[in-house]
Amino acid sequence: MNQIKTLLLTEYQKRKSSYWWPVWIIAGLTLLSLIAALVAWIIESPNIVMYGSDGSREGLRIGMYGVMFSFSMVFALFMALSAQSSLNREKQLGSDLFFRSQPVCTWKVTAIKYLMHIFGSSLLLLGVGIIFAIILSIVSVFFADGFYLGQALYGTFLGWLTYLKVALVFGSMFFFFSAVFKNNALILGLAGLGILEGLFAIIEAIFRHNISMPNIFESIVSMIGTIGLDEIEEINMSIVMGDYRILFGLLFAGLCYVGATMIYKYRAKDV
Amino acid sequence: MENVININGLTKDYKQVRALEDIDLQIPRGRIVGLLGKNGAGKSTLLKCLLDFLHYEGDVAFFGKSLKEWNYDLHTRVAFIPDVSGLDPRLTVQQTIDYAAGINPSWNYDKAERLFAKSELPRDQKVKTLSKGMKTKLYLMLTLAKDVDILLLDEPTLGLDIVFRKEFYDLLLGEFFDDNKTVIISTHQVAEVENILQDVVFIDHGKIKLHQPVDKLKNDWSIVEVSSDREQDLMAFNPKATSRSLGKVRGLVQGNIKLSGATTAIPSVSDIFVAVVNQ
Repeated sequence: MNQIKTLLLTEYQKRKSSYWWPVWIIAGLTLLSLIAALVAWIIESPNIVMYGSDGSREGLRIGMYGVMFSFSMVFALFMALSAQSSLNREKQLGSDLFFRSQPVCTWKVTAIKYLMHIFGSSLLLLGVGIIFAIILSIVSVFFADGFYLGQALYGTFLGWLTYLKVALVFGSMFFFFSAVFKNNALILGLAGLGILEGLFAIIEAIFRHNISMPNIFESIVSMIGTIGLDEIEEINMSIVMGDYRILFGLLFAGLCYVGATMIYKYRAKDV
Repeated sequence: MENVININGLTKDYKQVRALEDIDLQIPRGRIVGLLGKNGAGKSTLLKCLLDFLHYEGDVAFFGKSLKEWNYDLHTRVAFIPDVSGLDPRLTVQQTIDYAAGINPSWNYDKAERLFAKSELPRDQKVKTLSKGMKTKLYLMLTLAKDVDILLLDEPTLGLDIVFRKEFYDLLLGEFFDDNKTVIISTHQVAEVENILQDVVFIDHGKIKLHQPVDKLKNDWSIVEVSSDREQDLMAFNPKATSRSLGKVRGLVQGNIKLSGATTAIPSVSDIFVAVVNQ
């Protein structure tokens, strides 16, 4: 237990700034938006109408889902950068031998890295989402017809779950890349998949499209399941989580983790 | 004396290059062993193979148990300090200490506190801001606080000034070494460590050239000095190395020879090392 706590804390300390950068970016963008709104208010005195003011309960849920979706994009960018260097950063920094000279199981080390680098920042995303949900709920008291914190939090939670699904599939894939490539794992990994996709297209063309090769990127995206943007007005738990393809995503993530750890263990000997 | 390390038929190839060839070596408990060799002789490769950091052929055993049977728990009994300070530059000194303390079940908190209190290491500073000497000192202290049985040092003082080098070895002897501990120091700076070594292993081109206690080594070799006009007399003993100065000829010879009118002296490990690896 002590080892797990130490590993979690050390992984956080090593990459502290990459966890907090998305928060500062969102805070900065929010501040800019508020200033712009204030200026517009002073100049134009616009009539502010909350989304769906006829039904603010749903409006808050949908609004917070949308807000979380946009926040998620910032968090996902930093998660991708973090995951793609999960298993190769120490080698780049020359501290690999120090960490591997410690009495700790490699599987435990990679599991903590996996959790921290892929899902660690999601806690901050949830925190930011909750703060926004509270603020929007309070604002809605003045500009809409009631205080609907529950709905706002529900929208936040649904948005957070969607982010977790994206992180699970793409983060796991980038984590795998970090075991395979020492540098620029994200670019090289995606380029590798692109080349494979191109080869499949060529094979299909050679056989005059009588055979159907899998579309790699489409398959990967499909494992996230439904994002819910097409059905945002009815967004709810069954839309976000009620898609069997998420099970494939979980399996894919598990395979990525196991494969990455096995490659890491083997390649760790190429010191 | 019980052997804590047994190496049998260890061979390591880097693609087309053979870095180690059929190494057989036994290291007893409670000895300070110098693994001495020129640059590229295979010293670092041997140490990394011992810790399973490289793929190799052959058998390595610690405390009578094959390396293949050891898990990560080997690191509770064996510690390693590499040639370049490999600490994480993103962590502070305190965070590095906390990490090592939290991860090592054999961490000795009292010893660690005493060592770090004396060290004057700036605990709030990031490791990347420390000098090479400070980083090495931190690395050594982290290792000493682990209370291991075997310490493997790979060119630990490379690039350090004389003050840090002296402090390093004083700390090593004062805080770590006793009759139950074993230290292997790999270095090409033979003169720097020869006074603390009890055994030496000369390695060259991936092969063990010699493995002996220092006392025996110095008994087996001698420096014989004669006047220049008697050089032929000295050459009859087939000296492994010779030098000439101020009308005298000095030769390093194996065994205690009797040559009238000659003066003899005990050679340094460096003298013998140069002679052996240049054979």
